[in-house]
Amino acid sequence: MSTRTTASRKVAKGEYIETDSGNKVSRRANISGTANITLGGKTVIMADVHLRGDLTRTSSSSSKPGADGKPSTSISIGRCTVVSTGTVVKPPMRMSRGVFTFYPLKIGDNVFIGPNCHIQAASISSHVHIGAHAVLQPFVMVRENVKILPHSVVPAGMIIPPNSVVAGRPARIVGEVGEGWGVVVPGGGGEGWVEGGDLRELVRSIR
Amino acid sequence: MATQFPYTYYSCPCINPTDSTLPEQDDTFDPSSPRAAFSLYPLEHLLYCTECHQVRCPRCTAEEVVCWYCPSCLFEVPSSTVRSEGNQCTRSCYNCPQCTAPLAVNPLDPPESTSETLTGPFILTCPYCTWSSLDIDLKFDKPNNITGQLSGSKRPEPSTPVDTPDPDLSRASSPKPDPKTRDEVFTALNAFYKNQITHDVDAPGHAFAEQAFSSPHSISRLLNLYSTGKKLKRQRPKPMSEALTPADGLVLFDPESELDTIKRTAAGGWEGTLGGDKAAINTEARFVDDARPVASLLRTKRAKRCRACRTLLSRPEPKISTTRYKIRVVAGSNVPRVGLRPLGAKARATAVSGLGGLGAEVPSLKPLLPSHFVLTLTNPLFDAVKVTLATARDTTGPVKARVTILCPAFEVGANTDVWDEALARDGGGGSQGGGGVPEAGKVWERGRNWVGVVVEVVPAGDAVRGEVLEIAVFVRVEYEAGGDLDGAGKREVGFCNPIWSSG
Amino acid sequence: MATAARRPVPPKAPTTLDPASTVASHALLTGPHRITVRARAVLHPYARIMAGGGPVDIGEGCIIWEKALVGCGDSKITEGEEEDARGVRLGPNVVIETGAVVEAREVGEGSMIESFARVGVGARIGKYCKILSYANIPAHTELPDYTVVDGRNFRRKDKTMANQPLVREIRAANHAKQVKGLQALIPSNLVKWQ
Repeated sequence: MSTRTTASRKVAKGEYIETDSGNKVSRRANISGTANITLGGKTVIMADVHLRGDLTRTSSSSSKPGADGKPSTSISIGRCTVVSTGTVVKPPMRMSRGVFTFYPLKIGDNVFIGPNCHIQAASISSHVHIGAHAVLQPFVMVRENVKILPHSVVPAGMIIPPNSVVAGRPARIVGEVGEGWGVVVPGGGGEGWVEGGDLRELVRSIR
Repeated sequence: MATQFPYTYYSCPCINPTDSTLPEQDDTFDPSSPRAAFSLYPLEHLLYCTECHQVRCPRCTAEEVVCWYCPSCLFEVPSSTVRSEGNQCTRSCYNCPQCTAPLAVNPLDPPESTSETLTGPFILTCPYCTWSSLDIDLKFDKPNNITGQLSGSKRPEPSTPVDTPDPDLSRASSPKPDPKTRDEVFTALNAFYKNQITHDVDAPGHAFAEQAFSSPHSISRLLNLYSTGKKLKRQRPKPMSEALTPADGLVLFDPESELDTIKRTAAGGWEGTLGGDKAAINTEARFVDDARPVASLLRTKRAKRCRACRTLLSRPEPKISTTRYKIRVVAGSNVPRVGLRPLGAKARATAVSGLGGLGAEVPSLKPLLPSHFVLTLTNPLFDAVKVTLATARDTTGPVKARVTILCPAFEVGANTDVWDEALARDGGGGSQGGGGVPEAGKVWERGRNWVGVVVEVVPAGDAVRGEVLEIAVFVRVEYEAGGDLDGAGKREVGFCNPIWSSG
Repeated sequence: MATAARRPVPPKAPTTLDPASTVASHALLTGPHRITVRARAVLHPYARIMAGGGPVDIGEGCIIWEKALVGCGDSKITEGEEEDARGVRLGPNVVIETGAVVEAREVGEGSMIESFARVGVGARIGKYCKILSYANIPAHTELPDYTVVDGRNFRRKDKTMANQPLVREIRAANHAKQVKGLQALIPSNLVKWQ
């Protein structure tokens, strides 16, 4: 669970690989189809996260899709977004003109995705907080300032309007986030970030 | 709202409205009292009234609807439509009667068809629980305007003649059984009584005939109706009568339909009936066969005013797509933010514990053994404030513990010049202190606009395992005259901080 | 797999892989018993098949997503159980979603086990069932055909699927197309596991 407990040789040189734009990607993350994934910068991908970038849109006309064509983005993640341990992120798939094809998955800025989630949404807007063990079924659209409580199962195709709190199996809108969602007072001992707020402090603290 | 652990709730002054002017006489705040739950909120749910200089919780604000919209299609619905069509989406947004998940419109094309355009027929399917409108023999010709098509086939003929819809509603005892939906009955009754009342209003061309429901005139008449005999009433020139015919919306008990219901229950068994929670969203249906898709209910954007002085506290922009506010005065930028973390854990412990296993970073309390925690106060104001803390010696609630704040009075710096800290951080640590042994009367650590003090917690010997300890802390904030209208002021924030306790 | 790397490397299982199946090289097939993967089955990367307690048979056109676990890890057999009682047989066109754990004796044709659902040892799942996310099917449960079990473990009969052959046809056709789409995307590495 904890990213700090392991003391294997590999981890000794640092859990995260930091890119030029400040993305921190765990050495123990499982990322396939790297060419089809974009990270916005200052984004954290933790250990044991699966990013299925290999599941790209297949060209609908030819029967030989994917590999030969130029890479198309299948997962794009914005800035200061945190994908916690054990989460699986994969693009949604559906029938289009008689062919099953994957659609790109877009995650916005300052999104927090808790541990062991399963994300197959179509889009997740900015300042969204997703609790642990949540499931976002295919083509869910999450708008800004949404809180998804832990262990929720958001049914396929659900659109979560801005400023709402959802929970349950299947998830329903159970409330609204307060007006103060994401408002953080700068400074403070270890209180530099709040759910739905700017996650820069959190990203900085992860190493 | 489940928040991150440990959580902090702030009490709104409405906890003790009579004492709001005399806070000094306040009794010890008891977070476990049943009343407290109504005035304790996470900081993000609290607003701040700049006129009253008070925190305002959702109970203390009056709301005004800015706009209605459908949560599913995110289309704004004009208020006139809301009034005429009711509080529901009139497009194609429907929820599953079985599980409330939003329904999808799917074509029922044979798999061999390769045509680009979908011909239909179309059905509503639930992507979650696989319910589909085929269960109730509903098909649609077009994938759009489901509401229109549904109202066209308001009540589809049941597949078997015995399947009478709406056994829940007893049928009117008119010669031809004409089961009415609850909505229809309501509309009929509504029209009937409205008609009566408009007739009742003496003045011809009464401007407020519609609103006469709530006028004392009609209320007294209605009361009269019940208190005095009906005979008397009938002799009066303008009698007020109850609905007497099915046309008026009268629903009579029909033993036949009850028998029918019993028969269907016996035939359908457990699987044929809807559960109680499902019946709640589909009020008319008792059987699975009657469960009709539920139009998704509208949501609103609302402005909030202070109940005391009518000051506008928050007003969102009316457009659905934007999440900005025209006005928003949140408590978070006016009262100090309070946090709690175990002593010894790094400043970021809360962050990490939110990511890994919950509670992994939060040490459990041991009976009779003192544990130390750091209580941090962050000042959002642009002036330095004097803070006095107080807490009851013994906590109430499931976990009994003795709580001591080692340094109850201190000053917190102003929230100015962010660069100071930013630069200091690069230099290595913008905060002072944070080392050595906790000492009474000394601030544990201090930053630009925040202070951490040590709290000692000694749980009682009979601490309950797996319970949460909540500590009520009374915070008194004094700020100097800043020259502006704030003046010298005091503010009190009562709140409680919980700590995990597993014996 | 980070967790697997720290454990002793589990033994590679004896396998029978259909040449028309797709087994990603990062899939994991372990255990002393035989694992059979039939035609058009798709095993995603990091899918785990454990033939610890008996043979595992993955039917035609099955899709097993990443982090799903099919089969029992341990080979302990409680008294009164048959030798192969902890084997798993998946019927044709079964879909096992991310993170699901399927230890069932049998899963019928066209059934779907959604993410993080658990199906206990010895359970028998009928045809066209749908086990929703986080549902928990206790060991040795028998589910009739067309049962839907939701996240609160409430059961319901899927009348649409049961009564409408056309819906089943559409579903099967879509599934075939889905398999085709996945096979085009996921490089198969049968040699690694043969």
